[in-house]
Amino acid sequence: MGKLTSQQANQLSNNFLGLAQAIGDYRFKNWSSLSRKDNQHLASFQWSLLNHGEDMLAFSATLVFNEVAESLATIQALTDNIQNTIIKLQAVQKVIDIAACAVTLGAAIISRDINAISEGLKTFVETTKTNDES
Amino acid sequence: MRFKGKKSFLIVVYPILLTGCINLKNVRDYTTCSKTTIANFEQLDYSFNQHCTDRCIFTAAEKNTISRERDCDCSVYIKADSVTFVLYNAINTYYGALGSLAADDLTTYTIAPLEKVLTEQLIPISGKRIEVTADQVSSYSKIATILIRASTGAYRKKKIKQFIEEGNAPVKVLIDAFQNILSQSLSGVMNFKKERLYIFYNEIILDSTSSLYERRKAIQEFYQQADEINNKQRQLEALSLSLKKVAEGHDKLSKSKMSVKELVEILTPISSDIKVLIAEFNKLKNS
Repeated sequence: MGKLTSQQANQLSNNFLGLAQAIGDYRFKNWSSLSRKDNQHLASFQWSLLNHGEDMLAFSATLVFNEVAESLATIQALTDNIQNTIIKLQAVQKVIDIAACAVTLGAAIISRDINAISEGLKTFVETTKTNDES
Repeated sequence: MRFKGKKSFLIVVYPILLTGCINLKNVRDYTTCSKTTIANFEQLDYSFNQHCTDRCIFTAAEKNTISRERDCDCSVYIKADSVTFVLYNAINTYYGALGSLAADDLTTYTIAPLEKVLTEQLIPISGKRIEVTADQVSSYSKIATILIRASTGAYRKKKIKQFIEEGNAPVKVLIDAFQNILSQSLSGVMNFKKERLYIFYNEIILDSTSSLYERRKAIQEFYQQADEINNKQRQLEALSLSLKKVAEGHDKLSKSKMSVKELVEILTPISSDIKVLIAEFNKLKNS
């Protein structure tokens, strides 16, 4: 027999609620004709069904944990990865490296020296590439 | 030579300006909306454990019993809360990190120290020394700023795309699970609470020893409390629907090329829908 899934537990819980409601409807409809003992007996069933039904719903939420364990681990690893990227982007030295290249390139552009522009661009691309790969 | 210089300048600056157009604004808006809607979970003011505690008090009242300490086993409800919180925390942290990566100020760097260097010394290029004037320093700064923005913007966009692609399957699974817990399990236990109230008040109404005043009071109280529960369930429904939109946005983003046009087309309606649902949630919360 397979393990109970959270969806099945939810479905079972709904059935318990439906059953408790049906017993309640019967009790209230026949309130005056039911003996006190029978009424109490039915009420006790009703409360038990309600308790079990909602316990099942809480239980179904706990079952979800096993069902999503793999996704949870993946998203946590990915979040760490994103945070590391942010730290990397915030790394001052790397930013200065890029900026320094940019300024050098800027100087080359203003000097209108085509060789210097080409060299500056090459260095700039290499520096940003290194940052991308690291 | 003069023309050649201008042409070289354009060759360098034009692609820079193009990449400088990388627009992460829509991604920022989407992650901000998503984070706000996910965080609404903390505004719910209802938990499994609270439900169990309420049931405990209600049962004691129904049975006319009192003890010094509440005698109820809520362990499965506490566990359900912790599972829900783990899911919430994972999704919330992921969107927070994604939002930070798309944040405007993440790559707003100051190049003031470099400007200082430029005004104080000469820059050697290919063995040739170039005189730098104040106007030129200002130009360098502007270009450097554009270059930094363009390179880091492209880098961030590439990374965001990569993370969204990798994260799409697990995000979908986690949001689905979180949504199911809220809309089925947590909202579901509220149906039981309503039924318990219905039984409690119906017994008062049907009891021949109840006075007319007690019966009328019971009816009023039942509907008031049922309305409060219905309101909470509607909050859960609004939250659940907005989570569905969050997942939908993520899925569409993961399949897109993330061009500016696509980002606008995909994320503008999604963000707008999420905002409407957030407003709906807040309205219900304050009603």
